[in-house]
Amino acid sequence: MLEVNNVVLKYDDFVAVKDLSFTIKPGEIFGLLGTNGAGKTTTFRVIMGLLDPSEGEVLYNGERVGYHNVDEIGYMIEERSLLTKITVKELLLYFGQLKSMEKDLIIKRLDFWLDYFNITEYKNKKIKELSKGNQQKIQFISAIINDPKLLVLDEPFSGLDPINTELFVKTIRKFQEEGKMIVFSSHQLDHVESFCEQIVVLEKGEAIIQGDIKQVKQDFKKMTININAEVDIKTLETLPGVYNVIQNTNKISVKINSDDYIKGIFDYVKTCDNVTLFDVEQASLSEIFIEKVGGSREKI
Amino acid sequence: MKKFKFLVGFGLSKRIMKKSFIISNIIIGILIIGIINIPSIISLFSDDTDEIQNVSITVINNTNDIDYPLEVNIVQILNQSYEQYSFEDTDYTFTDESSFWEQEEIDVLIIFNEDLKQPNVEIYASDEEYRSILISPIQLVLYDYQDIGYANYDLKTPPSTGDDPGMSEADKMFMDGIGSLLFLPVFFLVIMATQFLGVDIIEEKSSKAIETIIASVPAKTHFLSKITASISFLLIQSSILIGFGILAILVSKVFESSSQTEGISLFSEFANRIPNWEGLLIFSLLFMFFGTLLFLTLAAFLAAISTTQEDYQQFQAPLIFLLLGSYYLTIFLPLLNADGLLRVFSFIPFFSMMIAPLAYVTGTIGLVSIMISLSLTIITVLFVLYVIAPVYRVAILSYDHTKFFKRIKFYMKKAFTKR
Repeated sequence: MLEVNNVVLKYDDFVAVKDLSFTIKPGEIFGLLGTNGAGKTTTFRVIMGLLDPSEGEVLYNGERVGYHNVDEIGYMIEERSLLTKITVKELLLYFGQLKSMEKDLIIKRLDFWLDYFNITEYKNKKIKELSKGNQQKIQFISAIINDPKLLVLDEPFSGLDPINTELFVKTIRKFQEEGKMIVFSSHQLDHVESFCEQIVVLEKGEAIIQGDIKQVKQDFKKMTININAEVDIKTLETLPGVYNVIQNTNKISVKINSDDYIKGIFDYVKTCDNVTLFDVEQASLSEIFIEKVGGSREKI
Repeated sequence: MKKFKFLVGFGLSKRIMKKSFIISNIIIGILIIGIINIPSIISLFSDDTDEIQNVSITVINNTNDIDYPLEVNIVQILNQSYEQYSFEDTDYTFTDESSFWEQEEIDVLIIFNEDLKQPNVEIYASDEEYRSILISPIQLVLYDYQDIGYANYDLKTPPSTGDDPGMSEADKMFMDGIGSLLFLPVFFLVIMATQFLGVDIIEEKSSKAIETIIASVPAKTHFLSKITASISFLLIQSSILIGFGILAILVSKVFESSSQTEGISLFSEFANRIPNWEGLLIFSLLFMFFGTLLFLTLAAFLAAISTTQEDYQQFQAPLIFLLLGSYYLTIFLPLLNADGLLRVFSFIPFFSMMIAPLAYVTGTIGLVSIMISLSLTIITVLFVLYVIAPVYRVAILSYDHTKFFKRIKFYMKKAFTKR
């Protein structure tokens, strides 16, 4: 279990992380979201023990994260952080041995993962000869080569095409099934939404949304009603609880403040002709993110 | 410890298991063996008569047996024994010693005095080379006369013209040139090691791979492993150079045995002119080790506070100037006879690496002084390591782009506030 307890990180007067707490249990995928500069990478650095928190602590299975237990953790940093002048094999042997792995085991696992990601032919190629996507795969392999129990992934999907993104998602799910803990950050909120149980949304180092993703959505009262009918847009906009109406090519999306207003809208739509769609859905994570982060900025 | 050893091994293999390293060492080896054996190689292809050196010699018999043909016998034996010389019996009237040294016609003068059975033999030779070969022919002649070959020898040497009354002009020239001769390889090796270390660290830092590495090993381990790898590289490269030197000597011995040339004269000359060469060797190695450690520690620090390769190239410039300055001082201070400055610089760490052994070998400083200088260097190394290790931990993961001194101030403050 990974416990982040009341972590504060200060640089003189600047507070990079403000009183952050969360827990990740085995088999859980945890999403750390936020805009650029919100404090995600700093939080990962604190988790990895690269930065000492000014206050609070990070515990991995009840112990502080340090060089005695870091071999059980896999870490993938945001930017491509590979030594480009050496070959894939040399790099993985380097990173693997830094995780106290034996050479034979590294080669065995490397062969497996290269095959898994369909890049076997690059084993003896220099990193600089690889495409950005393939470099990202190598970086991912370097984080999982030690078969970690805790996987820390900072923007793992950046620079990947949809096919490779799916491959990464599949791999992360595989790790989840094996009972490993995964914490990752991403700007691609649809991925976070699709497989995260718990999230924290950071803004200026502070958690502005936190908890179970379903609960977060439930707590966020605003909803969207998708309608396909011959409705009068102006009438819809004047209905109680409606704060926005978006006309799409095949549907009309009506944004309402809470589920209390669904009935009123339904009553109006019933009076319209050619009703083929009336679907109520909870707000997406993107909407919640934009709403909350935008709101937070307005306050500032 | 396991990770430290691995990092050192990885750093070393990155340098040594490279084609460029192997090829450059093959070229250096060929050059060393070739340069040291140039006289032998030339002699292989040249006519021996070209080598013969004319030496004019006068033998004066002032003994009780003035009719004994000493002159004829000695000249005959000398010409038979040394093919590279042609000794010519030349008339010369000896008046006093100073007149002899002033004239240039006679190279060698031998005067036999008193009883020829127990003579006092005065030998005047302008060149040390002649003095060393004259005794045995004289002994042969005396043996022929006395059956025992007894004599008192008085070897006369030309008066010194330099400031140092005990040092001949040739010795002085040798000592003047020793700075550039001895410390050129040291200079290049330290420059190489410093460059390698800095580039190695900045390569990991600028590619951000450092974050993955420091997530697995402590920054201090990383720092020390880089320095150890560089020092090990330096020792390996030095050993290879020494190996080439030994090989060159062996080759010259082969030449010597096959062609009668004096192939190893360069080395025997070296040992003859530096009576305390063992001490020089030990102190040079110790100064090289600790001095390099000092430069490497600073190079690691500069690389850690840099964020890009360009940054590092800029920051390391003062370090390279310091090394260059130190090297030029070893060349010019002896030439300028600046003994005072030589003495002062031998106590200043960074400069003392090359200057202190030079000052010791030229007699400017003594054994106690060089040991004090070495202690100062070691204390400086320990101090610099103590200060830089925590700063390295802070700086290596930071990508601060502020100005040089502001950056250093920030890292220092951060490193020592935490402690």
